[in-house]
Amino acid sequence: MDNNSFNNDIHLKLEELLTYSQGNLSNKEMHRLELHLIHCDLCNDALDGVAMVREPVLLKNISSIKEQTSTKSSINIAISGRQWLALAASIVLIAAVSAIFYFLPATDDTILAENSSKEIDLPVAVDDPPQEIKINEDSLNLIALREDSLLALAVTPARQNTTNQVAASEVIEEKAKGLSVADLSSEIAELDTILDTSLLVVTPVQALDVEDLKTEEDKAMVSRSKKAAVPAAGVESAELTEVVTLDIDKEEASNYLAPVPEKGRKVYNRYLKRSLKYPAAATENNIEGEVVLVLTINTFGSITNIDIVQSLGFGCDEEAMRLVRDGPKWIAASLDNAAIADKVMVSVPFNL
Amino acid sequence: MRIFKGISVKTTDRELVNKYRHTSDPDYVAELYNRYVHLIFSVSLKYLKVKEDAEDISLKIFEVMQEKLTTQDIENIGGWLHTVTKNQCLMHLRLVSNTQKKEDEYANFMEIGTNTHHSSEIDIESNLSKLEECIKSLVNEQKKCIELFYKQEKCYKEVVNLTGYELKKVKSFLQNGKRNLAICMAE
Repeated sequence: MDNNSFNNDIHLKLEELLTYSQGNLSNKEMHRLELHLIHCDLCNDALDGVAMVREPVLLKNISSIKEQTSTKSSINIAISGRQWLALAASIVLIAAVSAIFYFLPATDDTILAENSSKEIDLPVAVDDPPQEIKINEDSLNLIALREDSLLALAVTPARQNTTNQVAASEVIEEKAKGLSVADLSSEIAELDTILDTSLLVVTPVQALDVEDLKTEEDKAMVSRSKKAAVPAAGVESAELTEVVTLDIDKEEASNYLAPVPEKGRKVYNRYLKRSLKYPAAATENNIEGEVVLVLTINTFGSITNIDIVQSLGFGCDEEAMRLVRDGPKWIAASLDNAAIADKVMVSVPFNL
Repeated sequence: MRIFKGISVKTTDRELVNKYRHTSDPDYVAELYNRYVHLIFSVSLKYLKVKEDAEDISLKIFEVMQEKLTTQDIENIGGWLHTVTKNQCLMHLRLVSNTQKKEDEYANFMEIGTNTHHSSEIDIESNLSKLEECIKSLVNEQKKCIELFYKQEKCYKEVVNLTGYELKKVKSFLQNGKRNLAICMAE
């Protein structure tokens, strides 16, 4: 009796399964495996299964499973990566705000001098305060918006605000001409606090303007995906519902071509609809909606990475990934006639 | 990443299970799954006979492992995985086929995972003289097969050639003989 005969912890390796099944082993080696097989149902059943398909098929399926389970864990990393971005962005925001606070005292006097006439006029123009309040609210909203989604495109609203502001102050000044200076100066003291806060709020609007443009470039990934979602929602882009290019920035550049499916988008969308195997779990639970994926297309037009942007669960994510993976090839994106690796967003609709 | 977590080829299955139970870190399950994925897939293939379905079930098993291993302390991973995989396959077959017939065919396969034979084997090892007596008490065919397989270390094929029994018979003689031995030893 040899001790190894009771060593039941070592299950058959893939190569052992295959060689045993094909009978390519010496009697001694076969005996060694059989010592395990005699009591291991797992390996016994596995052997029966291995005998049912050809070796390359088996290997292909197993590596496909491994790939899918490893992408699952990389999705986790991708999400935590996004959280990182959000964290970094809020740090940048806090830094920007504190920088404004820091530099404010230095410019305070000059701004005061410049704005004094305007600010003094404010209380006098009784009809107009709503406008001033509006500006403050708008800029506050902007800050809130930015914190929420990193997407506060302050450019246009900020411009409006400043033109509003100028227009308002002009009107105010005209009205103020009729009043005595003494009346006004008495009210300056009371307004000191208000003045301080309004200054604070007005300046960030302009500061944010620049700040946003900068962070927009830095956080291109985040804002891009959000931006891309916007045209998807639009009615006019009916044909684009499933395939939306991510890089609008690049598209604006002169010679940029987005990645496209080899046979065109219409064919690709038809493929998605026809080849979809509705997951049983989703059917049972009446799950409908869409799974949004971001594919990385390398310079050869193959998919090198799939990230799930919008998940549906119940096996739909896996099905969407399978469809895309097994689906038609892509034509790589190009910039100035040279192929480049790029990302593209694909949404797979699930309708019962 | 993996080095930081102390995952290597030498890490035993038990250690992986324990670490996962304490940390809930999916990397440990992923490693464990990778060690068994070929077996899980092959077993699924045996029962489902369709490779796409077998692949789906294999992926499902990964989820089951992630879920169950946090709460259950499983000693015999191989046995447990076999039971889980088989049951998942049978559940899938039930779901797919509405015909009662197939269900009946497989219903008696459903079982609860056991790892009884492991403890009994340790007993066998510790008491060799008693074992000799027990072997003598076996039915003739079982005795023959057991002696050829364990004592002379012949493989199934050789046992078949030497005894003239069919392969299926040899396997069943060996398995039954082994079980009888365990019972005999426990007495």
